[in-house]
Amino acid sequence: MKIAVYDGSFEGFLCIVNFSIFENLYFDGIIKSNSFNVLSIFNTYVEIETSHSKAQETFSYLRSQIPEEHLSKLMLALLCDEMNLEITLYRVIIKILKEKSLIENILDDDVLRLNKALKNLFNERHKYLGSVRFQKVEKDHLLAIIEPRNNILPLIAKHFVKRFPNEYWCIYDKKRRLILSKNDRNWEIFKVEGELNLNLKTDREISNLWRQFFKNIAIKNRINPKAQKNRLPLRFRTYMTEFLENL
Amino acid sequence: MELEKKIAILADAAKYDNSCSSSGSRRETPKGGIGHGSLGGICHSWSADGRCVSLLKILLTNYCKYDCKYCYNRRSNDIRRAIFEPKEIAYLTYEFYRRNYIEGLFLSSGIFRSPDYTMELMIESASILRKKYLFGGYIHLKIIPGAAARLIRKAIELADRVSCNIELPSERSLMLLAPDKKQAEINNSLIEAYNYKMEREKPVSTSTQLIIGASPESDKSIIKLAEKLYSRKLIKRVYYSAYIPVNNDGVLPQIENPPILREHRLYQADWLIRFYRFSSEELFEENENLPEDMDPKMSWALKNPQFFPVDIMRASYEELIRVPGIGLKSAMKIISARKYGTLDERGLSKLGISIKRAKAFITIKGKVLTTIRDNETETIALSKPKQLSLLSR
Repeated sequence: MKIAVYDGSFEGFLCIVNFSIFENLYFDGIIKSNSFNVLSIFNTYVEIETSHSKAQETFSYLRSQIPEEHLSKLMLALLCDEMNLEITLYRVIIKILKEKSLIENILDDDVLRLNKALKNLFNERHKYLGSVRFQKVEKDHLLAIIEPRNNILPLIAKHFVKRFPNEYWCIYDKKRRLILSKNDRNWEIFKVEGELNLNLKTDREISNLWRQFFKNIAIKNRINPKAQKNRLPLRFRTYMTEFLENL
Repeated sequence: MELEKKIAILADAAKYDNSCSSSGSRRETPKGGIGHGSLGGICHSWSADGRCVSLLKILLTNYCKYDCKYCYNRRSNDIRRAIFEPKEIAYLTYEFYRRNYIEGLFLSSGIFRSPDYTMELMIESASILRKKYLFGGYIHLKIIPGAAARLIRKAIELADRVSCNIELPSERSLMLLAPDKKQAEINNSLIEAYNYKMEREKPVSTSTQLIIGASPESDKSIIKLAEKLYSRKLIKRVYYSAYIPVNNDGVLPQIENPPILREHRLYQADWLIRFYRFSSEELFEENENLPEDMDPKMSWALKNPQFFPVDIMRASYEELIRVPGIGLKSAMKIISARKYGTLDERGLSKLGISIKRAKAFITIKGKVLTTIRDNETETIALSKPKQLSLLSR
């Protein structure tokens, strides 16, 4: 088995595909160099060097072959960064290049796996559109913390920029140490080194009013923690104002 | 009174309205302002009863002139009362919205002094939000029956949705349980709203709520009423609210628990009418009520064996969505997947479609999997809600 080892970046991934498109070198597996892997003596590992120009070359080629709406959707699979979808995405791309209609065939195992992951990604994105909780920190700036399973920051940026165009706000993905930050008219996502120390208990006045509202809006005769948990799993609640203890 | 006390009282007083939807608005963020509509709606939280929290659902006041028998806020109840100033409502909505707690505001009210006076205060709240805060988020305003036409029009100008609760499915019950409310006034409000929307081409939707189980009307008369409201386009969505015994009154039924399963079945029937092209005649035939032990689609299918089985490879979309266990999305998936090859049980399960409930009603590769008769008991068992405890909307 031939396994590609890459740096986990979007460009790095495109460089793997580059080998297969232009040099006829195919892979049976793809792993990230920074993740923990048990290497096997039966496999050959090929270290992929990430090159901007090679990535560009691959991307232009793919764009000439695969309709834009399909391609951009496919690439989103890389945001499911904990699911090791690289090899699935890779196989789908190679197969589509040979047979264009494959993308529509939802019974193909690889397409199926990809679609499932994408559905999961969009579901999580949608959940976070609602469950992100900002709190006011200094100078009227707003800050939110999330720990999503998938890397959803790039997918929620536009929504919040449109919603709060005149505010200064950040959303911090604690798991990946990424910050989505909105200043004036622009937004960017960048990586932070080290731990950010955050105080969740600034903004008392408004958060208490919200907690009062939340407590009183439930109908006592219909209390139903199971239904609540079904719709809002515990993992979303870590930073939600209405579920914080001892605020 | 402190804001914190007011919010506790007036959220508590607003909770019996089941409407929470924030969908359908295409409003853009106002220039220099905050917030926009989200077409599909966004749920922001789920309260301890499992219902979604999307809007700041609150009453302007729970002072009320009326004495409706079923209502927690009725005049004769000895409860804590409070009233918001319009600017407080606008402030809370704005501050909650910018922290992403909510999609917007759902403002209702007890009848304070007069319908017009109440409506004016509600309109002022929405107007401060739209004009001072340049708020583009969702606003749902309750129309107080009997309010002047010009006020209804103003409310529609400001809101993304207006609603007016019909409350009880017949005029007789309304007279008995809500003696201060007039069915004619409710109807006029809905018609006024409809006419104004047409005239102005305003994309505002209208909803209403019916209380289930406080009065003797059958499921059939309730669904027929809903069907009529939908077909006349007076209402975009009817909410059904299981009657919760909050008052002790001779004319009210004595029940321990709210009829949540009945509420659930009505929602299912409502969905079948709005999205599955069923008519109330088909769903009920000679019966007055929906069966409780199975969903209305299954019940229809068992009574109409001549319609089945349908072949999974050949059935039209309309036929597929009539099969118990196959929903709108599954039907679409079947239609797009079968272009690429023959669908068998494995294929269906790959698509995430469970044929447990469907198998007595379909043929796969021309074969019947099981007949309705052999399978009747099992099918019925399967159509019982597995976890009754999860029923909640």
